[in-house]
Amino acid sequence: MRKRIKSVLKCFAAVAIGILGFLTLQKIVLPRFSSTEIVDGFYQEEENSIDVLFVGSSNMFCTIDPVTLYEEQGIAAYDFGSSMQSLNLSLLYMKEALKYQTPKVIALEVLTCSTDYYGQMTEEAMRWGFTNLKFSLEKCKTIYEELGKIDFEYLSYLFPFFRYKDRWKKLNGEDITYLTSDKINDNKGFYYTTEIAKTSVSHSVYEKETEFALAESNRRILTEIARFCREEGIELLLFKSPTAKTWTKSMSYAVSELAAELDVPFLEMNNYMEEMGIDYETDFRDESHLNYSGAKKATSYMGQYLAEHYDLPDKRGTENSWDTAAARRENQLQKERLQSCDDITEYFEILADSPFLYVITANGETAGLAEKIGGTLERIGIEKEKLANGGSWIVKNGVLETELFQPEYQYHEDLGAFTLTLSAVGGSEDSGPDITVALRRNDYFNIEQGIHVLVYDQDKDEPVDCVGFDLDQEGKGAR
Amino acid sequence: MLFNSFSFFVFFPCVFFGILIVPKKLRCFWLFLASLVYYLSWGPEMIVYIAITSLSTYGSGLMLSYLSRQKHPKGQIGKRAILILCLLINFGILGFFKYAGFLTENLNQLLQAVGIAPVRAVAGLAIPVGISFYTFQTVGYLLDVYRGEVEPEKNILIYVLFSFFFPSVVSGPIGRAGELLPQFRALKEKKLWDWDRIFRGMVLMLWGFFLKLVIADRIALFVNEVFDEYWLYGTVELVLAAVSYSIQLYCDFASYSLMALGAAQILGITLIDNFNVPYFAKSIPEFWRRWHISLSSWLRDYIYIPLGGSRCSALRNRLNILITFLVSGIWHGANWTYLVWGGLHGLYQIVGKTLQPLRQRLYRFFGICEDWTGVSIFKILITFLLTTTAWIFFRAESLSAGVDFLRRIFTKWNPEVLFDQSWKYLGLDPKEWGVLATAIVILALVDAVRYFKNLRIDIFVSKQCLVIRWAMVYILLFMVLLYGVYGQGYDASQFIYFQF
Repeated sequence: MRKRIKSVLKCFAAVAIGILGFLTLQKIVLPRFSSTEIVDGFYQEEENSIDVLFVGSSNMFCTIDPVTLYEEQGIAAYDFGSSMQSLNLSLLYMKEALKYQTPKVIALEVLTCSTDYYGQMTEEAMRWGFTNLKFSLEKCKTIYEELGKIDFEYLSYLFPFFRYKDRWKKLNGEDITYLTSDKINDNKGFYYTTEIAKTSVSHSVYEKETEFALAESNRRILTEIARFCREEGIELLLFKSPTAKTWTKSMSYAVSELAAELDVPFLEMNNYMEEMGIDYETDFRDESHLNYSGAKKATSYMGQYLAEHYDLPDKRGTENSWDTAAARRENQLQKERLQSCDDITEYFEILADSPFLYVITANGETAGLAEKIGGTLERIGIEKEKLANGGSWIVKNGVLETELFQPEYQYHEDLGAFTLTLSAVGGSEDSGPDITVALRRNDYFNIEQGIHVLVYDQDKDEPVDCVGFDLDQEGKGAR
Repeated sequence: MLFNSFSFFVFFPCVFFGILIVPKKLRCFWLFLASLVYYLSWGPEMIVYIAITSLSTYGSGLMLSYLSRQKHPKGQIGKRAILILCLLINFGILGFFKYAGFLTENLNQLLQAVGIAPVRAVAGLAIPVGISFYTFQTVGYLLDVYRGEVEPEKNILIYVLFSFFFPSVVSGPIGRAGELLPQFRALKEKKLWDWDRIFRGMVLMLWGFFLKLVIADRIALFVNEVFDEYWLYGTVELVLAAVSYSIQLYCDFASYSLMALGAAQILGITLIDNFNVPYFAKSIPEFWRRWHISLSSWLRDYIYIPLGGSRCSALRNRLNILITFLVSGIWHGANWTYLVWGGLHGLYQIVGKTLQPLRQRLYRFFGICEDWTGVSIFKILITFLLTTTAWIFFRAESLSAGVDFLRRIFTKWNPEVLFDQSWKYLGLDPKEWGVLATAIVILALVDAVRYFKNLRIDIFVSKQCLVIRWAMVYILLFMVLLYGVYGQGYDASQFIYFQF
């Protein structure tokens, strides 16, 4: 008997190892879509921490920025969606979310009401939507609704390994590091981009009156979603994000009528473009999606709406992941400011307020430059006079940690993924020593005359900026 | 329903768990139902032909047995008449489907040459799946009964199951009545849950999938690229393609046989082992004892030996060899390329036999011992070279294409290709070549274990300790899953031998 139990246990262990191996391999070969980070990040959220769940397609996660919502209203929200998501997939996302969270409000973006997507989603939309969701019977059912058959293709949605196994040829280090990374989504599902639409955007499509009737499938699923939320005791809010394409007033009326029937509020943001202050020149990434600038404005409006209509807790001041996300967003914004700045005075002002690690290296004639940044240097703790003698200064979190002076020095420090190397060696009396600043072995920056700054984000373990200023260019930065 | 299709992955576990739970008496009926479903999946109309073959040989077998018991001399005449009639029916069906088109096409060319109007061509009929295999299997049974070597099967269910048992019906191995019928009869008594046997069956199937999906179907991408437009390439690519095709064909056909063997083994039936390290053969006759064993032994027992085999004059023996290999060639298909391929193998053997005394004299003259490793390796290489040359005709679209392919190998010398590496991008990329090379090394190791230790992979794996055993299984499994050519963008690839 004992022998039999032992062999059964061995058998189970062998099967378990096989399954584990397969699932690990699957994780490695999967490509990363925009929804990968959204869905993986969602599963990392602390249970029952989300108060407002935004669901829908890319229009949703390009419009609502939960970090802005938190900063302005203290609302803990998450954008849980995938591109070109059909309504039945949205319902699946809601059901999946409720396994881990107890949101008070679910806000559903209704762009997909414009077309009968049911059973007609494109393969890429289905891959984006299903690939990273955990296995569940509801997922099996929704895949079947879309495909209408059970075959190898169906299996490849449940186990996307079978769709993406040929990526073995393209695998790189990032595929492995992503597997072991924390997968926390710092943008809380929001698609952060500062890109501005290259073609001109207008609101003329929305203004057009066209013939439109809601597809029966959309009507049915919206009704089901409303019933589901009611049964779960969750307030459902339908909303339409600002768009300059696809969505028309007729569609809006149709959704509005159904919303009234279902006794669900419907917020048509396209009717409040002026109130939100949306600028068609700068606030769109393309005709369908807002960029960060537009999203910030739209989110402010949504925040006010939520604050007025729902009793949602203000979580600011409590320890939570939205605080961390807000801090990281600030870092992100500072990075962008640094990367786009080429004026030495302004650059050092931004730098002095940043939490990054930075290395300032001075060589040769720097007195003129030091004058321009004297005040900031003082704040950091670097003496202007010492700067003129040449050397390197390492600052971490705004605190001067290391000073290295010419004529000769050698310095190494492990920064996680990179190794910082600073050296001043040899040279002649006329030309001064050879100064090298390096990250890893291959990224060398030989410093000629002037002030050089290397900025590194220790939190994300990545370089932020590398810029040189010299008097010949009147203190303008060169990258 | 291909073995490497999604439907088979649903079908086979159902059959397996079904046979475990159905009453013992119904096991054969269950397998009959499964075989029926499997065969119908290829097209319902095809069942008619296999039914005619199955029932005609079943009835003839019973009649032959009845007449054998008659002492009257007319009984012997009747026996022969029944045998000939049944052979005519079955080879008639086989011939009609496989060769009518070929014959009319050639006849019309001949008629055209002498200025006579062509006859109506036979075309458009789908060849019943596995017709060459099941016809040979059932005809083999009939001949065994006629010779009195096998008792006729009275149970029609068992006989029908013997004639279209699903793992082997489509592409063999061509089973022998003396080996298979007793197994089906004893199935109701057999202990079916035998983990060791099931595990070995699964290993055979897995190894089959490895050969098919990781090697055969990937190397086919290169082979097809070169063979389909061989006129664009020179010696290096053509030689590489010919060698690759030898590997592809072996992996493709052996994989099917292994999957059939494994599937049957899981269900409690042992099929004949169809391949035994063929490319380690030191001569062409040895190659044929190792390649497609079920067909070559069939041809030996039912054609070569009845013709007189080797117990006749040297000239007659050589003629017997040639006839046997021409039959083997034409069995593979109605095309001059197969005839030439078969003829080449016949010629190899005839020349080999004729030159044997000279070879022996040369060995003695130079003081060479035939058992030396170097000599063995040389013989293996020469045999591989000869079989590869013959495979060129087997793969070529036409006889002239095969000849032209060979001509280009000798006339379009382009060693520069080895340095510019362009061959690495023909149908495959360098990473795929890397995987392929690794897989072929694994195949060579597995074959070496079989050759030197006489251990088939399933037995070799099951002899290892638990950790090594499962590690081997998982390495194979994950290689198949990751590097196999299947899924979206690929159709479940046909096995080459299905067309025969």
